[in-house]
Amino acid sequence: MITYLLDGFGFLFSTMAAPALLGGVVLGIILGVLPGLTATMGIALLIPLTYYVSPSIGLSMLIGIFAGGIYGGSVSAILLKTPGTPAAGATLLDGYPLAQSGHAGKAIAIATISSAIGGLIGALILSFLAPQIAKIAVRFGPPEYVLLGVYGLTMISYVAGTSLIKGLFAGCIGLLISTFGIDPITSVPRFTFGTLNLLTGFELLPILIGIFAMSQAIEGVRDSREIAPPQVKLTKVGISMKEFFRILPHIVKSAFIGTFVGAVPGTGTDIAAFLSYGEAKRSSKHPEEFGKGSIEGVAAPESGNNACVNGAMIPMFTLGIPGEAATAVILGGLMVLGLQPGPLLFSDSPDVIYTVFASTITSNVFMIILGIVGARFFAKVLSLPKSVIVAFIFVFSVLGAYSMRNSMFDIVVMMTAGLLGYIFSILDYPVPPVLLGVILGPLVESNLGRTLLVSDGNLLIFFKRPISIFFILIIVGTIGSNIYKHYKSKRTA
Amino acid sequence: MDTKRKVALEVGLNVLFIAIAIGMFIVSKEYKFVRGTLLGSRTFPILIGSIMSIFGIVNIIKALSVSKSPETTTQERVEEESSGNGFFDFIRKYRVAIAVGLMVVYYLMLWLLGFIIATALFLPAMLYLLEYRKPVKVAIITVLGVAFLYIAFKVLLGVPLPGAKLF
Repeated sequence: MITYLLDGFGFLFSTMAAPALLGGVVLGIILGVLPGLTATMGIALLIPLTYYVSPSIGLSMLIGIFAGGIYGGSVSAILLKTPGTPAAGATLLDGYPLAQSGHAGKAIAIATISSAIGGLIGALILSFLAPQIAKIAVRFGPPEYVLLGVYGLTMISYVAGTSLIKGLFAGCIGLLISTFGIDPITSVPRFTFGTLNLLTGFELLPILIGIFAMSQAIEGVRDSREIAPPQVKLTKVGISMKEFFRILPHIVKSAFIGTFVGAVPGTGTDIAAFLSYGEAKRSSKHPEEFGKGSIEGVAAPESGNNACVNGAMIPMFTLGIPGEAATAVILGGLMVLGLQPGPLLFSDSPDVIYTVFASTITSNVFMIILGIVGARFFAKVLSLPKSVIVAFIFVFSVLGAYSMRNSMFDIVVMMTAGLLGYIFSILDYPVPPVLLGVILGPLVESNLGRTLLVSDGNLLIFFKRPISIFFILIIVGTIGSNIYKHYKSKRTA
Repeated sequence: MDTKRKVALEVGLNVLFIAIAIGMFIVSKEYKFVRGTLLGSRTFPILIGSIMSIFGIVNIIKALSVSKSPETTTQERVEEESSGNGFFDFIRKYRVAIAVGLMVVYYLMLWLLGFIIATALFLPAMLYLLEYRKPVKVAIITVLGVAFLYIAFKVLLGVPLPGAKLF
């Protein structure tokens, strides 16, 4: 495995993968810095470009955007009191008071160092743990894949937001979309209405760009009259060694919390950040400083959310289960590149997967250099006219949807998905379940068909295999705990 | 958006997808089950469509009950300040709908006029809608933007861009 990882580093630095990663980190930070734009949107928009380069290079760029985007959110949280991404929500609690007291540069330096160290620890755990999980997952047969897909769909209950029913409804829309095109078992063309455009079903990429990028551009039009809050002036970027050693234990602890939280499908970077913040406050020698500009209060959530980025990739790469929006989009990117996420990825494309691992490790090194050296540049990004960015997101969305199959039909699909995503945001319907449904629908349907063929239609096959029974227990536990959670939160509301 | 319009939109959204599910039931009658089993091309769509319809009905009932609740019928609309110009006020008020309309027009222009001309017309229009109205800057952004996209996609990556049907 170490050899594979070293080969990954070799490929990264001997090809265009390293510049692509660097470009991804820069772009990710810029998107993260700008409130209202997310790394998820950036990944969705950039996937079409990866189609024209090798998978390793393309994925390195996407990994860079993801890592950079989560870190970038902290800059606007510190300077504007507006988190650029939800993951930076916890950072502003102490980052902004620290900046207001004349230490904006220190806050940015702490956020940068913590993000990089947290991300690095998370990336190392990912690189060494994921192959071990894949070794177990490679034993899965069709019944296990059905249950794995169903387990992935139960994640809808986690990403459902305020209403479980709305989340499940959105998930069903995704599943229904996945049924268009040739049936995977009987090869019958379904709901094609005689058009060749629908013979292979709806392409994933236009849907992905529509619901994550185009919808955000429409939201940008809606919010175009909002006035940006005043920006705190950036001072000298850096911290003392004494301060570094004070925050280091919190960074390391939060990195493990973040990685663990990320590895549990259905959680996210925001949860990791707030959990890390809470733990840092609990264990700090100076809990009274929290909320007033504590340096630990900036370090812990930043370490936690960037470690979470890598933790979230563990189930994505090993099981093909996207836990939250950004990993769902990267998963879509893998599929667009012709790679099947899951345990076989480790045996079929070790060169790609280990280059990706090398990228996750290296992205943190790039982040620390860019964050410290380029802090002033990224602070200036905050003053970019948002209207220009929004206008270009529309054009990028159209080009992205068109470029994969050179199809005008895909532009229509993207626009429809974008409008649907916008309506969802107005009505508080969660969007990620739609993508979960589209991605996991074919996995569940094709393997259900295979399972029923093998067992002559006998559903008891699911209860005769140990791994299947294990999954059934997890699924029942997940659904049960979430119904209880929703019921409890409604009673307390 | 005020509560009444939100409820109408939510009911409309759910009714639309229930109608799509019903349409899929009808169309999927053509697809046969594998003899003696519940397996077939229609199994999954029928299963998912049924579940979705149930959730859709629950959503409609919930939305309608919210609209009848006296606590939630308050107006949330925030009036935009008037610019003194009727046309400006109109596009400001309906900017989302106009943006969607512009996208549709952009799609048609891409089809008829090709990428370069369509984008060169779309960008200034969208910037105008977003109240970015400095003519020189808009012209520079449009020219540089179109050139950048053309070079990045067509020249460097070799991605074909939509061509003109008219000429």
